[in-house]
Amino acid sequence: MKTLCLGIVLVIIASSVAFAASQLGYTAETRYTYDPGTSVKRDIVFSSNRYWMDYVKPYGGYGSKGASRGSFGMKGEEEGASNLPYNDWITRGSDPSRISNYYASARGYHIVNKYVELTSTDLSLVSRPQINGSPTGFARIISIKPYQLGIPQGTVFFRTKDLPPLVPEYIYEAWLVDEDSGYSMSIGLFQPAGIGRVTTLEYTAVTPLWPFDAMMVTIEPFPDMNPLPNYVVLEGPLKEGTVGVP
Amino acid sequence: MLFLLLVPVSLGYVYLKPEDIRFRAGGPQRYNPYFYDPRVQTFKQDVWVYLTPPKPPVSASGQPATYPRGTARVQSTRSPYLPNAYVTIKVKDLRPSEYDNTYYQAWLLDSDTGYSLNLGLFDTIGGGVGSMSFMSTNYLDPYDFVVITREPRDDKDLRPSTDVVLMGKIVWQKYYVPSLLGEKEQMGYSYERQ
Repeated sequence: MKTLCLGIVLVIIASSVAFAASQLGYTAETRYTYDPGTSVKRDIVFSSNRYWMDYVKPYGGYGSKGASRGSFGMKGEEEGASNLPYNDWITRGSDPSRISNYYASARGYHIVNKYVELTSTDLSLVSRPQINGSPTGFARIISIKPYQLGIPQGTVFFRTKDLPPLVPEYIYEAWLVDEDSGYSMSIGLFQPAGIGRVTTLEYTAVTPLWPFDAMMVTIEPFPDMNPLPNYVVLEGPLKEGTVGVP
Repeated sequence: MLFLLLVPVSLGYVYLKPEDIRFRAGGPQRYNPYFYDPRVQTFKQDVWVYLTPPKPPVSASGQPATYPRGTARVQSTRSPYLPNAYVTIKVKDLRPSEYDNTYYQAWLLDSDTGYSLNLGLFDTIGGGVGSMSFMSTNYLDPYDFVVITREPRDDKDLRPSTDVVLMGKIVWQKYYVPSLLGEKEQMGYSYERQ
């Protein structure tokens, strides 16, 4: 009996030593190479693809200090306008260090580079009262014809805050409006992110936006088989009283 | 014994139907046709539309097509939380845009209201080849035609011109909706396309 117990103890000690010895044999390099968990982390952290091969400069923010199109450099996600009025989505368009007599609009086509604030018109149809203040909207509207591409391109960056949630049979829709012809172009549906949170909507199309006069947000039934705008809750003019970003 | 059978049924752990009995592990909060809510169901469409001139030439019958033509792929997801739409159009044998200083513009037309949704501009090169794509956070169910018009390059009117070069009718697929116990009136929601 004593021999048996001694044998069991010896087996336990020997197996522990063998396991420890096997672990000591692993170098960090081996572990990085073969351990799937570690190697994945290593690939994420040290990947050449990330840092040297495919590095792409941020699309916006060229020549400016902080804000870019991405989230870094933002002045705060809780700000409805965020960096919309300050960012330059046209190359060097808002760069104060640019010294140039070059006037882009002299190229023979219209350029729109505007920051618009939308204010609430009437929220009596909204199901729940707003808690955090009056709903607002902010948009940066850009319409350019890039040098390489022979067709005008339009982009709308839209943010809204404090729009109350709707009953489930309704949904918000953003529009650009041409008051001359009465044509409204839908730029997308969205659900409000919640009281105090910012909802974003981005629209890009190969179409000029300079003929539009205003932007608005409507409440639409869902599902809706009528594509025309329904009930306006936010609106803001593009032509007058708005800031033309340099 | 009967009590042991009725308790899980009443709690929703067992879903009973005359021809089908299913046991589920999650209880009534899991997916259950009896708790079906159409708002959480996304309705996807992916259809192809063949574009021809409004009046294709009669003589082309039986011959290789030499008149302008095009193909549009229309994808749409009707969802209150993640709606999206993609339209891709390719055309051939249209007159090159540079000949008359025009652009071609694609539209989706709702024939009920007469509203046309602007999809974007494109131009054509030699051989009348052109393409465009459109993406939006919207769904395209109300529209029933793809229309391509010719527009002047300095067009100030945002509405479609009357110079229609190609068009095609969108034949939507029928949505698959499980037939249920008559909730459609309760949900204020019609399963048929309106």
